[in-house]
Amino acid sequence: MVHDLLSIKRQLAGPGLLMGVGPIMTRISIKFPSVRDDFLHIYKNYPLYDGPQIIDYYLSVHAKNVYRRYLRPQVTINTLMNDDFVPLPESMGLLSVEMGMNWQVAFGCKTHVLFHSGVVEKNGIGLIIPAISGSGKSTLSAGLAYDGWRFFSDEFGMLDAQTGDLFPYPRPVSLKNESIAVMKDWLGNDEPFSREFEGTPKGTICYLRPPASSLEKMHEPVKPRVVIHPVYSPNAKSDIKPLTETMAFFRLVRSSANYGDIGAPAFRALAKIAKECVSFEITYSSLEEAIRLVNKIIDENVE
Amino acid sequence: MHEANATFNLSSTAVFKITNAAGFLWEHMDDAHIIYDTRSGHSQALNDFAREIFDIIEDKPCSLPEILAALELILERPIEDDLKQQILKTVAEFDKMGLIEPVKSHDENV
Amino acid sequence: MSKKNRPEKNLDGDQNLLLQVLRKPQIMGKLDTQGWNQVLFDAHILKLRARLAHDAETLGIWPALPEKVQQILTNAKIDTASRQRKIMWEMNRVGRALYDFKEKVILVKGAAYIARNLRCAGGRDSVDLDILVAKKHLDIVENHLFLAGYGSQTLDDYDQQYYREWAHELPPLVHPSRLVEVDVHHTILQVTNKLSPKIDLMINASQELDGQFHTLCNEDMLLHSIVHQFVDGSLKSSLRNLLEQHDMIEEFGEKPGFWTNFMDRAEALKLGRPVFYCLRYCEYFLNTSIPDDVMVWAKKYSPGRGVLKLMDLMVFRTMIPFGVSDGVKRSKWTDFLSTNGLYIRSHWLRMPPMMLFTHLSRKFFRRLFRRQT
Repeated sequence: MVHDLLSIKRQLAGPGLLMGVGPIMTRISIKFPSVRDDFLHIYKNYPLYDGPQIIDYYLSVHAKNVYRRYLRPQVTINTLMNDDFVPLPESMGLLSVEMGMNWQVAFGCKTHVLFHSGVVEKNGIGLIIPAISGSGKSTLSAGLAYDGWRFFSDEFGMLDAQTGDLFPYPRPVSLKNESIAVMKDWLGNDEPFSREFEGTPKGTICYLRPPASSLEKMHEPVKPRVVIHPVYSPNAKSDIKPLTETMAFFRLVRSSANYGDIGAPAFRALAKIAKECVSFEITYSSLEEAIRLVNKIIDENVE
Repeated sequence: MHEANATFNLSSTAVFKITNAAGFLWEHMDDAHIIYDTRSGHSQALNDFAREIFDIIEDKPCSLPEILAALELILERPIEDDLKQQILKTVAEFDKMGLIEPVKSHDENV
Repeated sequence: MSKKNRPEKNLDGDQNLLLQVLRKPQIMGKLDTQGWNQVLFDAHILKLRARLAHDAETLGIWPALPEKVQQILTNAKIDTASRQRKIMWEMNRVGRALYDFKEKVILVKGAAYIARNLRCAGGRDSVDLDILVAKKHLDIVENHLFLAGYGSQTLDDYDQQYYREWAHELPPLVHPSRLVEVDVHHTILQVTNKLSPKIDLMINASQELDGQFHTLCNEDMLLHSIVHQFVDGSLKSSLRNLLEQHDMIEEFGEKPGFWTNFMDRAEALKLGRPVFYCLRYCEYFLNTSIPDDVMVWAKKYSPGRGVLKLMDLMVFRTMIPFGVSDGVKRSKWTDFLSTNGLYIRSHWLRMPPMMLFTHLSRKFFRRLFRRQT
């Protein structure tokens, strides 16, 4: 592993820096100094390598030409995976990096069943939080992570279909709009946050580094025990609704990006979760409320 | 683009069979039977009634009138029109999803 | 091949580690980390990772591979298996749609290899389902597919007209709930191509697969692959295509009478030149076992020295893409010209020159337009 900042920057600017997150090793090169700074701030505490590692994905963050590098700087990325990303202004370079890495995992990872979901763990209890965008799953995952849970991911649940284990893939949390202030309040400390990126197609975006204690255990899996589908609704009364096994099963299928590719083992693994875990839908209007509901479900259903 | 839900013509004489019994995986949930077709990669929920129809065809290839007759035996009463329509729909759906298929003339005596 | 006639060595690409692994998969057991990164990178670009997984498993050396390599190759293996499964399922659905159609439906390319479980299907990344029917049956087949819910993807009028008048297939059909492209062909080359082989011969010689579908006979299957690469294709996936031919030669070549039939067939269909290229480059890149007398026969169809030299140069450049990690510095421009030069060349064989001009410029302007919007 490398720790010396100068050599890290040199790697990142040149041939590429190796970064391991959970089961995935990426070689990243970034040609823009400002984007390198954003990157190194949000990925502080992540394991970085310069030594011999076998590489999963290559990500290059560069300018298309001299004009795009110096005169009207624009960040282009290449994931080597049929991407077609719109170049972004240099000031939003970190977004490109994150989109590129998400793309590579979403389309490249087939060894694990991927859920579009957050995952956290406490006392050996794995909690899956699958949801569509806007349901608040990132905020809820991050809120739990900074409230005593171990953070696995806010975006990619990774399940080993053979063993039934969930694996951490603790990338920075992607927060949008109102949830940024909510999380800054929650932590009472701005250091783990990135700059706020305003005017993106999804509004304002800000990244949050997961707790260092979660990063230290990024290779320790857990068994899933509880599945909670959050529904954020600003004016609604909070509610807990149990799901039938069949509903739980089909919702998991729908949230999985590669269920169809993996085939029979994924079918068995998801059916096992649907039958053996407890599954609920919660409706909530604030982060405190959501966390109270999660704890209530755990207390009442898991010994 | 033609309609996505176009179905095949179901003639009353067509004999249906299940060709892929070995390729189906089943999971029994609290309120449904889930069938996974390893060829298509699709999973579908069958309620008890649909499962019954599936079992009849699985026992032995049969035509629509034969399916209806078998169900009348099980239910111990004649099948009224509403239910009949539902059965036809279920069989058509099985065909559309590829769970069953019409027997070809040259292997009709399977 | 006598030494004098071999392509000159060391036109970079020859020393490429991936090529060495493809020739002799056993060496996968001995690669170090750096070697693996080179091989995996190139194999990713050339879509050959699943092929490596397949080779390692077939040889029984899979357990000896580093765990991380197994993980990376497993991604590719699952991905490819899933695509193959999708194609086989699409074939099942097309079979259902054509339930009433009693004439020959011939699977070609990937679907045929997978359905017949040929060696070249192992780890092969296929995406479309290609079928071939007699031209007089095109309308009825298309109709059956429409009735079963297939539709043609939105193409503008020019594209539609191009397909119908000049191409060797219908505009691609897709079922909206499965999204696998089904290409219905009535011949195997553009109708404008002067080499257009006599498709009736191929249809008549096809062999039955399962009561519903046929495939081309072995000789025609290999010829089709050759035509696809050396006459028709863009050569962007050259190495994969060449491997496919290599596998077929190794598998079919063992069958009695194959080579005699193959040579007759190539002559009857006037495909001597592309066959010569295939054998030359298979032997050179992949050490394919080709009988000496076949090689001697093929040389009759070689172009003159100058053209051959040029072809060698271009083919070498297209086999291994630029930007690979083997440390050889190559000019991106010559690589670009080779790939696209061959693209234009194979188009040239396909369309009358004036049409070629309008087609390419339309493509060019459309791309420009897309970029701006």
